[in-house]
Amino acid sequence: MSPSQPFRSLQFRLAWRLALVVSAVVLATSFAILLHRRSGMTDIPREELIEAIDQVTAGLSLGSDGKPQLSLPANPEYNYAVATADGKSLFASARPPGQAPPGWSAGFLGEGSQAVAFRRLDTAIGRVEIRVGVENRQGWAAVLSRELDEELLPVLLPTLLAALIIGALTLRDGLRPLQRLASVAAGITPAGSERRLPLDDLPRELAPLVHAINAALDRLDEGFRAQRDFTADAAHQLRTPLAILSAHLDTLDDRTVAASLREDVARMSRLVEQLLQVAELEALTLKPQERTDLSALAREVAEALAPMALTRRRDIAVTGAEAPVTVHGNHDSLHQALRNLVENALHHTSEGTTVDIAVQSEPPSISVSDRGPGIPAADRKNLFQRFWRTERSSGRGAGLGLAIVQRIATAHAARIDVDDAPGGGARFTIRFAG
Amino acid sequence: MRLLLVEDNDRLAQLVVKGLSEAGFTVDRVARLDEAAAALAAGKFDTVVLDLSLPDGDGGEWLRKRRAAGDKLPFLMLTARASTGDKVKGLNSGADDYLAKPFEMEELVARLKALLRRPGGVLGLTLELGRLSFDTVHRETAVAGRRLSLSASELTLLELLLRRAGRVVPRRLLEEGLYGFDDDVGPNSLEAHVSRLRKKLEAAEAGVEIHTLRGVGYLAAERSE
Repeated sequence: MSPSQPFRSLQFRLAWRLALVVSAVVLATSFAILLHRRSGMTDIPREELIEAIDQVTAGLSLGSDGKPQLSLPANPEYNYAVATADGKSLFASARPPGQAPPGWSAGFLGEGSQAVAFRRLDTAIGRVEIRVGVENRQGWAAVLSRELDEELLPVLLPTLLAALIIGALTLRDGLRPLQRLASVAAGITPAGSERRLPLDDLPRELAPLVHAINAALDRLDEGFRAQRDFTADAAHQLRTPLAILSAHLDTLDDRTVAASLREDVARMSRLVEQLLQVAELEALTLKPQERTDLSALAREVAEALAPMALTRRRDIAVTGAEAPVTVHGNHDSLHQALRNLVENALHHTSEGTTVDIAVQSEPPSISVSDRGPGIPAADRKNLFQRFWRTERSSGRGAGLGLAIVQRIATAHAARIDVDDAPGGGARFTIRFAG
Repeated sequence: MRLLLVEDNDRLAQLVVKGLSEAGFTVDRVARLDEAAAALAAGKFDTVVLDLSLPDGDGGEWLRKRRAAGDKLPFLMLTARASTGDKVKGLNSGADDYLAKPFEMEELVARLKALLRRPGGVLGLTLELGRLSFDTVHRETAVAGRRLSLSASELTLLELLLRRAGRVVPRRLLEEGLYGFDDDVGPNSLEAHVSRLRKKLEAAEAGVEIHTLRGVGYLAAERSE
């Protein structure tokens, strides 16, 4: 329901058609009323004609010069003619009514709109014959249009408007379940693949569609889970052969060959480890109450990696971790993220230098700096892509480590940035939102 | 040091037995939990290396039952499952340490020795590192047989460091150990104690190095020449 394409919108289409139907009904009704009015017209003129004769009679007078005068309202809605008793025409409208039969003092002639009334009587100017008629289309149309203006429109227009507004609101209300479904559907991600569209409070017509979508999601979820499990199983299955391989290396007589093979085994083990992490991460959802202390985390990771670092003549230091810095986060996955960053830093920092883990509280963040060559600005945006490797990391790892860190940060609504450490080297920072 | 290895994969077991034997352990190997129970009932072992998934059951469950029944032997859990959740599960079942496959023999030996150096462990009576030996019963230290005299607080520090040799001992743990020796355990008093101990060890050429991990703790290791 993109607002930029109104004709694609169901709501717009329904509203548009409803408006057409309502307008057509109103028009047809008005027309019917008018037709009825028009036939009714044919009966009314007798009274109107008598009124008209009275009006003409009252309008006759003798002027100061002794001549007869007729004063009528401007543009009377009837035709008229005034003649003397001997038939001499005194006054007449543009289209005077037909002649009256002699001998009668008053009477009606013709039917309906052709009706003519006449009367012979004594007036202010003597005995005259007055004839009036309504054979005047313009007058009739004017009567109708006046009736339309004064009686029909004030009722019809508000009714039409109200019908349209109520119609549009009803439509919007009726389509609201669709919008609710859309917002739920938007929240279905690989990490939250078990969510389904709600069936409660749903119009009956939508239920089959929602059922079908949910069933499709079930099937997708199953396939997705199978793939995730496969990755995890495959990684698990690789562990024992790797352990055998590793143990076997310890029994080799040729120590130089063993050392070089051990490096290969270590690399494979690392990849297997990371594949497992990726599989676990796909299912990572943050529980609302989960809390993690970044300070404790920094110390844990430093303790775990320090022996390996010291063996390789690198040092690890933690700063800012004296007081707890608590964030909404999953301990195990954050541990993994920090561990990946520190391992990375230990690999790149030069011999005899220190990898610094710094915890900050306002806003909560944790950063890892090394004393290595740093990361060129051009490489920074590709750094977090899966299997992306720079030359500086050639020979080690599959390029999954930082992608994993990125995924964990994203799951925590945290941002990961890389910049230059003060004094040279790379600095990775995970920033949490308050 | 007599060790029981419970591992169903023959090839891996064979290699681990070989590696541990070379490191000075006497290793008995079984492939099933019922065999392990029988072996433990029959003989005296100092430690057990236990695989988590075995043909006749889950090693974690089995260990939990043994712990509930009062078994106090140090157990090291070995597993192909290394997701963080499984790690927690392993330690919750009562294992003293946990090692994920694949591992290096060196790491396994180091972890086992650390387990055995714990108070009550078979290596816990005399702690050794470099040329330094620490008699925990008489609380005496010697370098290559020559007696080294240390203060009570220095001995406490050294014991904490040696029991976890090769691993980081958190500051908090050391500060708690020192508490009582010093009237004011100020922010720098731990540094002062470690610095004195370090100088004495260096002067005696003990071949032991105490690394400082700023903000984390200390780590005692053999001095690499």
